[in-house]
Amino acid sequence: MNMEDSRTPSSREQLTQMLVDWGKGDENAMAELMPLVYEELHRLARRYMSRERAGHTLQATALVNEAYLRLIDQTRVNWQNRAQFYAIAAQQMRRILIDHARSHHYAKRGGGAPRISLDETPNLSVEKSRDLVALDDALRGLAEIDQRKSQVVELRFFGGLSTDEIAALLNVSPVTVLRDWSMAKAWLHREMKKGGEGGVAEGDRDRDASGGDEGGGAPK
Amino acid sequence: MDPQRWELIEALFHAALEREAAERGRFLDEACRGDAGLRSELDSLIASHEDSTRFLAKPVAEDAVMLMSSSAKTLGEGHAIGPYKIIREIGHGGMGSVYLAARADDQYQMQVAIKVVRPGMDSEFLLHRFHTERQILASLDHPNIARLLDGGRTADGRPYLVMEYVEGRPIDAYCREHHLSIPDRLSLFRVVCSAVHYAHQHLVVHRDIKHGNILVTREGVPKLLDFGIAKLLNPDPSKTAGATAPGQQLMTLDYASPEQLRGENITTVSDVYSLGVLLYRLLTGRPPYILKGRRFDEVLRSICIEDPARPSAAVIEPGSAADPSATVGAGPQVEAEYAEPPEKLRRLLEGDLDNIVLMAMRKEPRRRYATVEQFSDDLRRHQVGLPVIAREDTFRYRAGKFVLRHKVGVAAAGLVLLSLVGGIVATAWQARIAASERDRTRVEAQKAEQINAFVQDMLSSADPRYRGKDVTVAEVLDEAAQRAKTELRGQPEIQAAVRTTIGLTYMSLGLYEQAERQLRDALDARMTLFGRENGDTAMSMNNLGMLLESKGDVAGAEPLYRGALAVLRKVRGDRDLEVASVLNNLAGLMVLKGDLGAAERLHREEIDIRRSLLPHDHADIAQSLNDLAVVLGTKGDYVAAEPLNREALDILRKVRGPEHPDVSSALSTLATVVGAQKNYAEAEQLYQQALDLRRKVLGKDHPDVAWLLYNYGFTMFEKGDYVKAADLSRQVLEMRGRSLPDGHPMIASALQVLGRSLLEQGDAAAAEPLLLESLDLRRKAMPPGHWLIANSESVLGECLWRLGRLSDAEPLLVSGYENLHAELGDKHERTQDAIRRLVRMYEASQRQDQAARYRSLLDQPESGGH
Repeated sequence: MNMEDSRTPSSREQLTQMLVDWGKGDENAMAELMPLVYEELHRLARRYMSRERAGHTLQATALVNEAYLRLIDQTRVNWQNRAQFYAIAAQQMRRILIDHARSHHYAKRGGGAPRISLDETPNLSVEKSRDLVALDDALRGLAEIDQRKSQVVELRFFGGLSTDEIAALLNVSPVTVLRDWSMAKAWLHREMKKGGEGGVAEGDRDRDASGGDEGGGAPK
Repeated sequence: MDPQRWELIEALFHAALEREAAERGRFLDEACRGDAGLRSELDSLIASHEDSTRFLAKPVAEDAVMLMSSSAKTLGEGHAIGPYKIIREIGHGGMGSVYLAARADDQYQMQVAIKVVRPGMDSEFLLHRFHTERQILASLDHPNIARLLDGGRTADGRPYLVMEYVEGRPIDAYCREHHLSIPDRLSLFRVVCSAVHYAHQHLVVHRDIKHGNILVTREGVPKLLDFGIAKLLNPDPSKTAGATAPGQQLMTLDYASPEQLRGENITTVSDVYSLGVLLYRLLTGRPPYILKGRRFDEVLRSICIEDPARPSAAVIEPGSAADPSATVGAGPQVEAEYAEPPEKLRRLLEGDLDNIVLMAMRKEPRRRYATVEQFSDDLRRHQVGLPVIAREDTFRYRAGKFVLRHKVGVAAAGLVLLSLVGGIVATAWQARIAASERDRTRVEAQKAEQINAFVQDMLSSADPRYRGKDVTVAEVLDEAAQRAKTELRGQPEIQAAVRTTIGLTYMSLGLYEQAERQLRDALDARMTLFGRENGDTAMSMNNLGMLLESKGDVAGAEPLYRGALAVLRKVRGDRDLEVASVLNNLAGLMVLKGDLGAAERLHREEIDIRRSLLPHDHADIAQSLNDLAVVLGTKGDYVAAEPLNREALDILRKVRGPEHPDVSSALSTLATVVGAQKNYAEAEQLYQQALDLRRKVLGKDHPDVAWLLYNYGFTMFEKGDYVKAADLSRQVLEMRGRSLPDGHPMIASALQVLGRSLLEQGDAAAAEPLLLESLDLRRKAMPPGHWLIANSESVLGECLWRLGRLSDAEPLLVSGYENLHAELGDKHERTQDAIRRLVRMYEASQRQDQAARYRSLLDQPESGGH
């Protein structure tokens, strides 16, 4: 098919330019950048895996950082560009997990059932998948009310970044990050309990009764 | 949520948490001060906070990394995707991976290619697109299109598409490796065109034609991959070139049309452009523009403004204009491409092939070939040695103006697939749905106009008077007419507008029956919707009048024109451009009716209106001048006509360009006027120019070609070249029953010239039936007393006299003269001819009194009978 030509990695210069362009508000640049960042993360992840060092834990942040150093020319970017790169990485990880989770989630509900299971993958448990899907929905709701709080959650939970790193990326104090985190967590937790499987719609009170308590464990 | 309230909640939330649990109740009581909603919000958040200590405690980033690190193995050999078992990975890139696979449960073991979108793309959105579009794509069944077979979602949630597996080489590599000659490359390319054309007929636009997407099998059969996939994967047309990996993007940009880069609507004509680029590459071994390593604005400039080197020039400048590293895959070394030396290739490409390739690649969609089939057919003509439509581009491209003119957008444009017309009607329909969902009353009036402008715009690009003839335009129109009928049923206003456009386009194709149906429906609808006294209704009357006139139904056309004129004068006032248009039409009709005085008056009023409202060199003024010149010429006043004619021709050449159809009309009129003043050498030259131009653009059977042939023939008759005159008249008569209905005035006129040419060559017996039929047709089609009937009578009289039937001849000769005398006066050339006939007849039959009486009416008395 027509994909064979694009194997060659893009130059660092191009990627850096895209990142800078995105920083200036060019949404297309982000669309271009996303798959490339994914590609690099993916490649690095596979390389780590192939080393098969016993006891070696894959550090997500180390992975993202390495991808960043490899892909982006540090001399041409500012702290904001860097933050955006990490945000892309976190967003990619969120998507990978959510896509995976959704397919299991649907399988459970009988809709669009996949015929096979990818048994080599470190399977997310069904419960975890359901939680992830519900979390994803709730996060979208939070983003509408408070974009920064949803970003804090994305960076910390999906991106694995520390409070200090997030503070630096978002250009706020660590205290603010912690306060955002605590408020966001309380809100999300409440919404997920409220919405059950059906999502986070505030008006969707009917679901309260039937949705059950996700945190409680075994699905019926 | 109100941001201020959200801030308040947040502040109180943190403030409460800073207090001991026991104090919180009192603190909140005070802080919320009776705002029960606020209080309960905070209570629930604080309770949730207490309950969420373990919630989100362990980041899942590591899980994501684990998934990434292992997913490479997940789709290895033997893995199943849906009912398919993977054999191996065959491609890998920006969007995902491609695998060779076989149906696991299939007794045929058919091999397929499966494209799996990789994670990280917005798969929810993609899946949704897949479901709605897959059906259309799966319906494409053509030997040169790799079929889309299936699609679904993998176990880890990624969308995939299953396609026919094609084993072959990319088309450019195939040509190079086989050192195909130019004719072989053209033949191969035309097969590709047939596949694209087929898809267009099914209203699917490829949008991503490039050499990597066309594989040629070992048997030499080209197969197009990824039909419509670009759209599936990338429904926002403005991002077609954007959302792929840069390596891929550069390749795609080579083939991206200017409108694609500008984010405008992508139509079948965009595929014509990409095919032009492909042909450029196949013929020269290099891309038309060197884009690699250039900034995006430079790339845009190249594609949207700069002209590429002509293919014939490109083959002899390897490495100079083209950076050897610039192309993906092959370098520009022509030696590697062909067995022939570059100099020979240059000669083969120069001329037709240069012009054809560059016409397909023109910056402005409407100046390219209208369809892929037309493009392919021009190549065929070149291959068999016929003249081609494409000409060197002399149009001066004004980028800024063009961009401005094309900033029109339709709200639902993103939804449009489809081709010329189908797409438009679909848009209109979708826009209507969208409008009804939103603010119906506000949007609709505005939208109707917008849609209509869009339809007019798109359809007029299919108008062959401005493009070159193509039968499939008619097919596309049929489809549009059908869609307009059903899909716009609830929207009579839009429907009427769309039908008008379709009808007028049918008319310009000479398809009168289909045109009449559309125009009558539009008129009926407007009568019902707006009543008679309305500008739109009036224009519908005018349109139907034009159609009837084109069909030869003069009597039917007149009341429509007059009605339209009366309504327009009333609702728009006398000084109005639409009034001028209808005046023009009515004047033309008066000429057909023979009322030249009325025609002249109408044209003069029309010219006054246009001169007062338009710039002095406007094309419409040229048209009016030309038409008035025709009237003056018909009256015999060639001296007055000629300067009007030359002024018109100058304006038209300036504003329309030297090859425009209107220029051929002006040439034709000038030729007639010049010929009538006996300047035959210039006349013949002008006619031939006009005829070449018109046949090239309209096709040889177009009714407008008939008019020209007729006039040319008549001038040759005047010159005394009866052989040529007879030949030209016969060419007109060959079109009888095909593109000219029997009642068309042209038939009678051509019969007349042919009969008279035979008569002058001494073959009165052969002339008689022709002249008789001509008279018959004129008597049926024209009002009694029309000077053309009179002229026919006079000529037939002479013929019968030559055949020795004096008693039949005399009354015809006399009544012919008398009616000509009444209609045109004695000074008119036709009347003078009729008098000369009478003089000859009476002299020959020894009736000197009568002969002398008529001779005295002659301007230049004849020097004795012959």
